[in-house]
Amino acid sequence: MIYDGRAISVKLLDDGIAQLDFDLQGESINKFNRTTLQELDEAIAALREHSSVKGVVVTSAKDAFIVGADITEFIDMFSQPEEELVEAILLTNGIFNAFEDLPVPTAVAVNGFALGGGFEMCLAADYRVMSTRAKVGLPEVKLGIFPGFGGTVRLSRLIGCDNAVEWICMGSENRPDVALKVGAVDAVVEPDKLFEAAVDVVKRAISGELDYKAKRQEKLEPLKLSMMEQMMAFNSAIGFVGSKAGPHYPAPVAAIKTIQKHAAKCRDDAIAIEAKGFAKMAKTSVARNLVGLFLNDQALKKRAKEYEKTAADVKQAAVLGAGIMGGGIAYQSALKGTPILMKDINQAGIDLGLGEARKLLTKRVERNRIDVAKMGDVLNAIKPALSYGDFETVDIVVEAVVENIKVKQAVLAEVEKQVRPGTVLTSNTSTISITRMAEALEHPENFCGMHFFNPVHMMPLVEVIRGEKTSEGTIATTVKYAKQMGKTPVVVNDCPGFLVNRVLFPYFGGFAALLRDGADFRQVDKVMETFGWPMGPAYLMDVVGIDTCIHAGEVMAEGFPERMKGEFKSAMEVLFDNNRYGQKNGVGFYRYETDKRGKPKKVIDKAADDLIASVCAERREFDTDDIVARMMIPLCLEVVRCLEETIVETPADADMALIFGLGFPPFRGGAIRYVEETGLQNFVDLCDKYSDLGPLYTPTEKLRQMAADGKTFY
Amino acid sequence: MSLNPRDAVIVDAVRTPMGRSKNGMFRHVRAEKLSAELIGALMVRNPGWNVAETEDVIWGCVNQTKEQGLNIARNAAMLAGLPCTVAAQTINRLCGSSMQALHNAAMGIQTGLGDVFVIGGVEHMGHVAMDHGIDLNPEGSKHYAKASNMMGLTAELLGQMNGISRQMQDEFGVRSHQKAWDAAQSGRWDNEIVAIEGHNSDGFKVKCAIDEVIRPDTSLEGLQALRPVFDPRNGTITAGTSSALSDGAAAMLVMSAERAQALGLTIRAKVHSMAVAGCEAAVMGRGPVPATRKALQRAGLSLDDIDVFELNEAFAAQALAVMKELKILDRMEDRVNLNGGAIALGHPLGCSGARITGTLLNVMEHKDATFGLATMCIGLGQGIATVIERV
Repeated sequence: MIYDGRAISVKLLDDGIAQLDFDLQGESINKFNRTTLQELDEAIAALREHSSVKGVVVTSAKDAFIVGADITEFIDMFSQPEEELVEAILLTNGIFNAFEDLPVPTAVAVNGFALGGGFEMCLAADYRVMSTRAKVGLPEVKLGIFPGFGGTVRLSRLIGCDNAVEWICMGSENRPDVALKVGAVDAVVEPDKLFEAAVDVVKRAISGELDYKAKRQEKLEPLKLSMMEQMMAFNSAIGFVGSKAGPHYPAPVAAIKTIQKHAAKCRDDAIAIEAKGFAKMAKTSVARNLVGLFLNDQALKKRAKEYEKTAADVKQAAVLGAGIMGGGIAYQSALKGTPILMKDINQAGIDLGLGEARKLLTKRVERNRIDVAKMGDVLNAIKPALSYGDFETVDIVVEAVVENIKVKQAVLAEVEKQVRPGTVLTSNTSTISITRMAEALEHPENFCGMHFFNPVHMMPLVEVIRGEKTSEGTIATTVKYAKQMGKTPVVVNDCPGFLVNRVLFPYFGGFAALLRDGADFRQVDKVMETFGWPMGPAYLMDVVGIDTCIHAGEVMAEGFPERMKGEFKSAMEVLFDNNRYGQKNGVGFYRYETDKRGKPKKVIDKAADDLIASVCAERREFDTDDIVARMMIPLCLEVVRCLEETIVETPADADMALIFGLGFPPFRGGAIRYVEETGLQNFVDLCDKYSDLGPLYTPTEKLRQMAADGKTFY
Repeated sequence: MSLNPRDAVIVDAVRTPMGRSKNGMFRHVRAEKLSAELIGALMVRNPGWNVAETEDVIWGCVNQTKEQGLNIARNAAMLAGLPCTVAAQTINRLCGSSMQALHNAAMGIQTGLGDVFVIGGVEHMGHVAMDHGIDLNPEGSKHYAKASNMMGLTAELLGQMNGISRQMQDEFGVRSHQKAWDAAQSGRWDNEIVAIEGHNSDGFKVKCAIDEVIRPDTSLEGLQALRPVFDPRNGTITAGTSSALSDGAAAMLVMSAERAQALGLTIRAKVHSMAVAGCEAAVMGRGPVPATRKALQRAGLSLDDIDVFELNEAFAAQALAVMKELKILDRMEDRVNLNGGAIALGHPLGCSGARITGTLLNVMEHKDATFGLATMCIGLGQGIATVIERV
């Protein structure tokens, strides 16, 4: 044994080949935490001193190779002053450099995921041999940063600058065939031959058959591109990537500019430039928020796993009420492997539901995501029914009939009699109280809400709503089913609108007041889109349906009359009165036409302005900050209330639900992150500035207290 | 001027009219057929040519797959009814392919490896798209920018470096269409165009004799309204200032001076000098500059000696940049592309070299000029040039 640590061991095999094995104790995966990095440093030193070592093979004892740096350490690490951060990164790079500079040939056996720092470790070796089951990539930009362990330097030298830019800026996980074709790995073999192949390549290098020194040298030198080709490569990449990433995600373009800066440098100087650029990105709020988002997502997944432990099996599902929503749910369930009965009271509904599934499947086939056989299998897994015939086989039911409490109660009471005892019943409702619906049931403990977002196949969030009498087992099974469908479930407690719609309507309330006071809805849309929302509020209402918004708004007003009861006639009510329901009937705030490709196109419609003029003050330009504050305060305060009332358990849950369910700008990390970014006291002060706008702008006492005490949510 | 017996001389030059690639008049006519029709036309126009003594058919074609695959030169020669004893080869120097075909024939003649050649080229860009089946080695990214494969972007860069404004490009675009249409109206294409059977927009069978791609109604205002296609944000190059996509073929009958004289054929011009040159892929559009300089040096001529130029209009920005670097911008009006160019006629890749050299010959005859130079840029950074001299 050359080295024996808690994360790494090195032993000498036959023929002078040393095996450096990553096997982080107490974890299911390998990652570059402080321990691993320190041990890598020590292990390399030990290798250098061991005179009989003629070559090194790097392996992993886990299913994945190394999944990257330890992201839980990022928050602390990134909070250091920029200069210290640069120093720390350079120290780590020193370890990778030392590995690369070993006086013997090196190869990595990439057995599974090698991502981020894990792949950068591979890049430091002379040869990369990859299993057919592995994937490699540099996904750092997804966290608002870019590779910082020499990744931008080595990959650009190894596979060429454009290819490196693609890998780094897309943050993609790359399949073995792709990695081999582009030259990121040297060989791809079956998993059972992996170790042998890695040892073999090192032996061939030792014997001189393969020239590992020339291969290594390439990574130590500047890019080969002439100045002219560099200009072409970098300008076009910056233009293309910049327009794709948009202004809120600076990391991809910063990565390109970093490569451009170190293009003419040798390794050590180039890495110094990378470290500087990396530290700069790590200090941005975008990186902070995206890292936070990643950690929130991990936490959410962990809790879902806990629920799954106590969940019942879901082998057969059922959806009540076909139509577009029911069809979408059936499609998603069947696609992800849970067969589903789709029951409706009439054939037209069934046709609509099956038509929706067929449409979505056809699109997947056209995009080569699935083949025709798979399409057939998925459709076969959706069993249409006009009666309750097979319902005793069902493990979970999703009711998705019209949004009317009486109808829903009747349908739920009816289906309860058709299923086995213990079958979980859920309702896909966006606003109606789960506790009240449960009153119609004999076993309310088996019932909860399961709120999908439209379109079901696109939107990742499912709100799982706990009614007063819902059992934890019911929640667990529903969470499990949502996971089976490939969705992200967030468990919330019952209240009108639950979490997502409850916080959305105050946002619409802020919008209504802005229009009342003379704001141009196009300006508001533009400002909020620049803020980072996928669509502004007027456009969003048009897409959701103004009639739907009005109806849901009434439920919300009934639930929270003190804040959400409109004190004035709003522009959307005027549009509703004039049968302008948005995209669904072609006119709302905007008018919708079909473009050449058959997609709806949004155009300005003066008729909307004329109609709403009667309830709006004279049109005037608003300050951007003013619009953002008037829109965001009501939403953020409602999230705070939901936390205080334990509608949602943690700030992380709330933020994730908003990002996945509403499209809250991810780089802002969520509503609570946004409030914390602003500073609690600043936020409270801002609310007070708008206090004359009414109770939607009144901070809770608890929030005031937290601000005064200097507390935070996270 | 005196002719050496082993000088390569051009006896005749023909071309098809240029069809629009998108649903154009040749949508039902294949690339081999377009080629064969021209070989047939050369036979008809030159009864003194004893086809059996032809050494080789050399055909330029870039995307040699589908109907253009498997040595299209041989397929065209057989369709045209040339005897099986005549050899045939297809060659590829991208946009310079059929000019290279001329060079190869000339080299064969000069070195005594044959006396009679048919050269030409074709590209049916509607049937075989430019990017069909392309799979470039990713490793190339170590040596040149991937964007250097996008010709429009290279022209943007070249234009930028040479200060070629949008206005200059748009004016050049209008000029190309105007001159090409004027040539059509006044019959200046008649000696080179061979009418080919095709189909009109309704699908009727018709004989096509006019370049379908020319847009006589092109106006400066119209071009100014177009959006940049390659770099929508900061670019200056539009579809209107890029060579159009078209389908077409061009061909020449080339012989040794002694054989042409022995057969009593009219020698229209001799190939005076030839050159190819490389440059950086990122600015492939300036390839004609080093190629032209080399060709002139070999000819012992200066730019001032050249009476007329044919400069392939890959892009207005590129053509203008080349003229600027060669310092002939001020002489453009009466010396360069007097019948318009590829912006109006289109640029069927494999066809263009023989096409512009044939057009040059006709313009020289029309102007009674002595020396003419044809040159073109080539993707990934090359240029090719030919100086011809009327005798």
